[in-house]
Amino acid sequence: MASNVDRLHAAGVIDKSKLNKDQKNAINGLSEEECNSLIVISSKLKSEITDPDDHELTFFS
Amino acid sequence: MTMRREEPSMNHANRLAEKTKFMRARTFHVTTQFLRHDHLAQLFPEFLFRSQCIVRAIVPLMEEAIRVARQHPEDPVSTPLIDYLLQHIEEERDHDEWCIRDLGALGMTRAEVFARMPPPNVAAMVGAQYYWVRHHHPISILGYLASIELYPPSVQQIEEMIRATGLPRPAFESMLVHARIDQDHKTELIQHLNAMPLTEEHHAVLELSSFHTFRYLALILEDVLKLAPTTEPDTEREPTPVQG
Repeated sequence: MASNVDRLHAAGVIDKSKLNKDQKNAINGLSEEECNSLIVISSKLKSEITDPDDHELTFFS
Repeated sequence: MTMRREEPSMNHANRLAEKTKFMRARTFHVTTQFLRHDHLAQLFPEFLFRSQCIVRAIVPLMEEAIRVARQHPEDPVSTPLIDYLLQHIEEERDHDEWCIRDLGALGMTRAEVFARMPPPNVAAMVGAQYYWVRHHHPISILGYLASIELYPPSVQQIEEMIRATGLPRPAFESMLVHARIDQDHKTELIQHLNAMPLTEEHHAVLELSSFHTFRYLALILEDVLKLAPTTEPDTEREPTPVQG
């Protein structure tokens, strides 16, 4: 089975050539559910909105 | 989303934002699910409890980062990091008490808040910072703060939550105050980050710290969403036919 890094790279979510070893290890440590979620969300963002930065918020501060 | 090519002149804050954009998108997605949830009113107290668990550790975490940074005066980032954290500690002081008051408006006593063990994903997110700050590099805390403070909700969004939940307004007081002041905190953090003499090694720490924080912010909110009541078949309205 392909690694998370390879799956996310193939889906256009990340550019693996710009990641260092620690970052790749962290991404490969994501669960399958998290990885699938990143692919779905990325695809949805591409189709729905122009600039995702305009729609971002987090709530813990 | 596809990462854009980095410009040579990209500043530190923009570089960090660009590198963590894909992970941030997931946190935003889960946050939106929470805000639009049919059972937001039932979920909100759990969300607020988890917020308090996170917020209670912010000042102690910054104090720990200052303590460690002071042990490394030879590191060029130590002085600007300490300067920023000393200022930011005063801005964040007592915010955990604000959350206690908000929880009180929902009927949870202070004793009840502290009797509950903070959830594992909160401990994993905050605990990682204690570890990295103490055992690797205190700059890690800026990746954490950048993740939790650079994307605050607006006053309008909080007002919509108040309307949607029908919960008492005092339960949202700390969120309303944050919505007003976090824009200034955001500007300050970006300015301090961009003024720091960061190396590639510092960036690697910031990026992994921010990645981890966004990951766990999403997991913490997903934990809250899992507490939503499930829709059971209404057996009283449509009784199961008796066989025989």
